[in-house]
Order: sequence, then structure tokens, then C-alpha cells
Amino acid sequence: MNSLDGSIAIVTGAGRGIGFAVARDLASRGACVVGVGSSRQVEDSVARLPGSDHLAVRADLSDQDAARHVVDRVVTERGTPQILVNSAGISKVGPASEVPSEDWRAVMDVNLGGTFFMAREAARTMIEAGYGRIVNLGSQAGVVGLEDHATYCASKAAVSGLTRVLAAEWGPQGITVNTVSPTIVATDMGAMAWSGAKGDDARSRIPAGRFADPEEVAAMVGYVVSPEAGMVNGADLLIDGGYSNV
Amino acid sequence: MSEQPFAGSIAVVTGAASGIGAAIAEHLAAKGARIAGVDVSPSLEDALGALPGSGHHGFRADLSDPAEVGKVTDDIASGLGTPQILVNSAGVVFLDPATELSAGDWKKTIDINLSGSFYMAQAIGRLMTDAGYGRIVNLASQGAVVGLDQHAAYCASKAGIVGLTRVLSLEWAPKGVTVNAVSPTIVETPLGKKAWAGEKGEAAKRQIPAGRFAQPEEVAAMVGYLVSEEAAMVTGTNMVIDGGYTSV
Repeated sequence: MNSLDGSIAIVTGAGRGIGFAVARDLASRGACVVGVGSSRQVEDSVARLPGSDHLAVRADLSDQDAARHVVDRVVTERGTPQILVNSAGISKVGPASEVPSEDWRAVMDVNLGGTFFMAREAARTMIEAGYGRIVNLGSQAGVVGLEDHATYCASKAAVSGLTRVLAAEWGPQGITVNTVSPTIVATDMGAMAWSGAKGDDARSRIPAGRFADPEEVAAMVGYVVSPEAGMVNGADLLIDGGYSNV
Repeated sequence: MSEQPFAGSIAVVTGAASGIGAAIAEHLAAKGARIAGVDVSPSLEDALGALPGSGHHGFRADLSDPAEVGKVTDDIASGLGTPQILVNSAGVVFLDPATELSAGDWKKTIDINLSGSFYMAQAIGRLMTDAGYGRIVNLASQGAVVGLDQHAAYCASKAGIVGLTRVLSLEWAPKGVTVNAVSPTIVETPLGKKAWAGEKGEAAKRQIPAGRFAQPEEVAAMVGYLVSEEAAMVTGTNMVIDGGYTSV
């Protein structure tokens, strides 16, 4: 099923983890993927995607001007994007009473600021075209509290709040904006951060008894960015094995 | 990706004779599922006869009667086998200001929308938990999340479905069975078009950021994702498909 043939999809954080799985899924459905990442890894990852004509763009999305440069380059070199998936994100873990101000800022700048500026720049071109699909990666941490994740939870809850406003503003122009909120995902980073007894304890609190695979998150994103999901807008779609509802 | 991801699957769809249920049956049948359609309507057989694929079966049952649900479940299991998919789409709506709503209309709404969904989920869920695999989707509504004028019984029944969905998902997740709710805005079925015609409909559309109602096929596509194997970690959620209505 190549339902995304002819589409241009920007995926941030495409170098690894969830972003890479999303990029691979969209590429396998026929999209031309523009992978955005902060390190050389994004170039290697984009080179491994199925299909051709993909583009790797290096950018530090905590820089407010980066989003404009990225979108300008996409429009010039590939065309107007139909899809934006904001998957770039970072986490700094520690008790709230000990969180350094720099950590708070760094997490907000990437997770929330990077998401907003990318959405804003992409939407300007999507509004002109009258069509767009924007997915912001949230987290179960946007819905429930996780110990030692004050900055991360705040940033992800803010992403859901932002999503609702963008959905309201851009819905009339044919653009949908949604949040996809996974539980812990078994990426390399996730597996390392949640290994041993800490991971077993977390799994025991998930009714499904396991973490999500990056490919499962990518499949949900694949549905939300499809043309047939035109009435899914402003939603926070949980993929957490039931964690946040118990 | 296979065009027929549900080949070899048996999908029970209630309310399959018309509207959203018929669109879901069509969507799943087109992807290879055998449909066990359950409905009270005499047009059920015609609706199933028009589906793509083969081996579909119709079952007449009043879902508000647990004994009938038990019998239908037995008939499905013995006639077709253990279902992998259940979509509870049967539902009714009676409009009245809350002060005027009759006890009969209240009871009918709760009996069919909420109790019927539970009886079906319980009966089919027993088979699925034994088999170690299942996908259950309960049709709720944006009316489960926000209040709608003159919809007291309907909104209560749909909010009840969302609560029920959370408990079933919790209890059955360890057995490989996911349970989710799907909550559409107004859907342009023949009934929906009639109920929301004219200025009333235009006013409702203005409150939806996407500026329109949903098509039955769009709801079916969301259900199609949720009942896929790859949606294994989606459980206990209420998936809203409302063009942004409840988020503003």
C-alpha cells in the first residue's frame, strides 16, 4: 500500500529511535522523507531508508531560527511538505527540587520550542496549499506524573496543550494537528534508561505488561498522517498498553 | 504491507445493517475479514450480501437481552469460529430535554448502547481471552466527552462505554486483548444527515474546527487501525475523531 506516494514528510529526530522508525514507515509507504537531526547520525539513517530522493538536514532545533531554515530548504529542494512529524526530544531526569535551570530550559527549548517553531514554519506553507498533517510526539508523561521527570512531563503536557490550539486554528485550512503519546518505547535509549528492576517495575504497571516498540508508534503515526484521518484533529492519541488509564 | 491484513480473521460487527456499522463491516471485509454481522434490522442479510469477500453471516439479536447475546455468541463460535475482532457499533438515540425524557427512552438507550456493548464484550471477550488474542472496539461519541443539548440518555450511555472500556482493557490486557473506544463527531450516515439537516447542521459544523462532519468511511478507517495487529499497545483509550470539536 503506497498511500503516501508523492508526499513530502518532514521528520525531526529522524536519526534514531522513534523518529527513525517513523521515517522508515513513511518511506515504506511511498513518502519522500526529510529527516532532521542534530548529529551526523541523521545522514546515515536517512541513507538507510527504503526508496530514494530522501533528504537529511542537520539542525539544532533548540535554536529558534533553525525551523525556518529547515522548512525553507525543504520547500526549495523538494517542495511543499504535506506531513510534519515532530519527534525530536530530550529528557533530563532528576528530582524536581534538584533540577538545574539549564536543564529545564534545554528540555523546553527542544521538546516544546522546537515543536512549535517547526509546526509554525511548516504550517505557513501547508496553509497556502490547503492541506497538511502534523503529528507531535507527546508522552504518557503528558497525561500522568512520572517521578524525576518534572521537566519532561511539563514539556510533553505543554505539547498536548499546544496541539489543541493549533488544531483549532488550522483545522479550517485542511490541516490536522494531533499528539501521539506513547508509554516507554523500547528504543536503544529507552532500553538503557529502563533496564533492570526499574524497567521491570515500570512494565508491571502497564496492563499490557511490556513497553511499546518504535514500529508500533510509527504505525499509529502512519494512520494519523494518512489522507483518511482528515477528521482526527486536536486529539491526544495514547499508545501506552493501558498505563495512563488505570 | 498486505492489502488483506485481516485474511483468516473473523470480525463480529454489531449494527452492521446500516450506517457506521455497515461502513466498518465493509472496511474490514475489504481487508479480508469474514464478517459476523449482528443486527435487529431485516435489511441485515442484504447489507452483508453486498460486502466484498465471502463467508459473511448475519445474526439477528436484541443486544439488550443477555440470553440472546449468549446464544448469538454460541452460534458465531460454532458456525464460524473464535472471533479475533469485535466492534460494538449498534446504538440508538432519543432526543428530548432532560426534564421531558421518558423512563422508557432512557432505559432503551442504556440497555442497547451500554448494556448491549457490555454483554457482547463479555461474551466474545471470554472467547478471546481463552484464545490469547483479541481486538475490541466500542463505538462511543464526542457526546461521551462533552455535553450535547437534549442528549441526556445518549451522552450518559456513551460516557458509560468509555468507563467500561478502561476496565475491560485493564483486565484483559495481560491476555492479549485490547479494548478501545472510538468517539466520532456527527457522522454523515443517512440518519445523521437527516437529524442534522439545515441551519441546525450548519451551526454544528461551525463549532467543528475542521468545518464538516465525519464520513462513515473515516470512522471505519480508524477502527481498521485499532483492530490491526500493529495496534497491540493501544488499549483503554478513547480515540476521538471529531475534527477538533472536543479539543476547543
